[in-house]
Amino acid sequence: MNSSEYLVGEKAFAILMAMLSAFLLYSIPYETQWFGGMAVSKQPRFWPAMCIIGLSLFAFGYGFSVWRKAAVMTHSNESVNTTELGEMKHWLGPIEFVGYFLLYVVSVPWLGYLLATLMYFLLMTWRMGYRKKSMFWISAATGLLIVLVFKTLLQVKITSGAWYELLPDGWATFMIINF
Amino acid sequence: MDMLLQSLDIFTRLDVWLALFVGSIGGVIIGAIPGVGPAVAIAILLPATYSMEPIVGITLLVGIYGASMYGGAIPAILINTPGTPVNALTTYDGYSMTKQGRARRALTLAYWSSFFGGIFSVICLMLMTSVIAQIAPLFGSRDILMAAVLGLVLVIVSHRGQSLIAGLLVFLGMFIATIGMESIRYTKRFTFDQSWLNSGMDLITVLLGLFAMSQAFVLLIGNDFKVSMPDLKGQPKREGFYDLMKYKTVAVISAAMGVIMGIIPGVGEFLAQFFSYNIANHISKKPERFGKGAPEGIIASEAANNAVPAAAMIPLLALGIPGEALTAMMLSVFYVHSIIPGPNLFINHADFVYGLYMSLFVVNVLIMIFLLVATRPLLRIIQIPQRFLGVAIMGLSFVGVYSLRNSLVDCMICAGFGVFGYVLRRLKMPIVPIILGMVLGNIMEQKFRAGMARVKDFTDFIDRPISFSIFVIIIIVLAVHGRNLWRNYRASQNSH
Repeated sequence: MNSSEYLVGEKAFAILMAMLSAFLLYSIPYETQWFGGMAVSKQPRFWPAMCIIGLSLFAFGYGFSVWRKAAVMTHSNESVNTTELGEMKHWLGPIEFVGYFLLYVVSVPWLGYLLATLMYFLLMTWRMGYRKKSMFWISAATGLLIVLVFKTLLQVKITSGAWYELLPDGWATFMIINF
Repeated sequence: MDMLLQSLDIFTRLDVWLALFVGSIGGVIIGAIPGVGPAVAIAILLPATYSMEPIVGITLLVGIYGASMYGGAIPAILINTPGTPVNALTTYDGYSMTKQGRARRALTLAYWSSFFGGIFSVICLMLMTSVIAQIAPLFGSRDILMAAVLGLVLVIVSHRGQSLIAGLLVFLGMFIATIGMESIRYTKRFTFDQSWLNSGMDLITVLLGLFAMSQAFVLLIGNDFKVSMPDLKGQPKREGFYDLMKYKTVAVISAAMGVIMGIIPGVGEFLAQFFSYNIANHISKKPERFGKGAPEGIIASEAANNAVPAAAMIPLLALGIPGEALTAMMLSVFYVHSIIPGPNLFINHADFVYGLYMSLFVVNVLIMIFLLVATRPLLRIIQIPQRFLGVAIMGLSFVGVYSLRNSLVDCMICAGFGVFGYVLRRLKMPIVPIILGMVLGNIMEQKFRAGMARVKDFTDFIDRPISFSIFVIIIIVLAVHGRNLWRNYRASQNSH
């Protein structure tokens, strides 16, 4: 991004923050409570209100500074290939990966941590454009290593796979504890 | 001294040694891979450390924290890309030396400087303990509140040229910390009638989103780049040590600067190395060499940033106030194990404190040994494709966030903050102020309520010597910052 395009991003961010501040200011009476006869400092509303007022003041200051910067840069010769909305579309770039991540999360209680992780690594490796066999082996080994370190060794709490119940008792326990 | 000797008992335990090895070696590897960094690694490992004993968990995290900066110097020197952001200044002289065919010399100099900074800092920490143990109990609620305010003010003003956005993000973090059920009347705040918001936003979930997921997105959306490594074969290995001996004064000043900056909440490694580098430049007999392969440049940068981690533990242990994101993350490990950092820590858990100091010392020794023997294999790690690294970080983020409560909602919140963090990274905005806002905001609310019980009006907050002194410092910091802003404004007006 050149500095003009960067400024477009800052403008879009300033607009979003101004909207967020306005919404939070408006929500204070509805989302917090005020008790009669209680000291101001102990009111549940007091601290969030202070934070939102601070947020709003800085959002205003930031918006003003971006507006000033934009006014100064009006005469810049740099080409601007995007608008505020265009920049916001860039911000949604990771949504595809959020989808894969959530798919991985949802699949763990069904497939189990080991299988879900291996599938996640292999499919993501394919999605990222790697086609060499060695890369898929490395990918599967990385997935396996992560499962072994975190689940088998460190015993972090991760739901076991639903299909583990179908295994014979000894195997089911082994899989539930380790994978 | 007795307590120090007693603390050596922890080194008879296998789990402590395992944490020391994993922390120091893992930290070096993490630091050496551009695009990961200690914040990502610590955020991912945090939930796993909850099941460990506090000294083991904290040792592991502190090891990663310190070791990553050692490792971060390797790509900074060899491929002009800092492994962690705090190694940025090392590229100036380190990469210049590589281009001159002195890569090994630059690397060993960086290692020895880092080692000196790390050990210097631990020794300072040990020497200051008796003073800290006497001063810390003098801090009451109002004093800690003022110290937290000072921390936030410093976070905001230390982001030069970005103070407004840093302030905005600090208050956003403070607001996020207020979401959920409050602890006095148990009323809901900003839950919008959503039951999943009742327990508030978990710090780890937000951390993993802002640091790990956002970094994964950046890597996944970007491209792999090929790096060509210089050949280190045949280059002398000891010259770096001789260079350090030659520029002892620079090393001592830089490490001292790192300690001072580490103690001050909200300042940290960036300013430490920046000031050290400038001082080294001023006192150098050949300042024209800076940026072109001056050994003093590498010493200043590396000794300063490696002196910070141990020093940053001082406000955390003594007052319970984290100075930056990494110590903020460690704070949660203390809380999980009911060890409350603050004035009473040195009285109730002195063995823990001394054990931690000794661990810091051993970590530095282990890192140094590892680096001296394993630099060449480490070069292969730097060449991991960036997009594959993104896949791995996203996979690891899952462990971090899902292991908290096995909750899909937590994962969605984490992903949401990941997108927000991606936007911040894209716009080159700081992420740390949000985390410090969340942690310090929480502390401030508690201390404010506790302090208000003993005061009649707001001016009573500064009627104690400590709180008044901190208040004066806040005013001075703000006045200096205001003056600088005014000067910059005048300068920009004149230039138009």
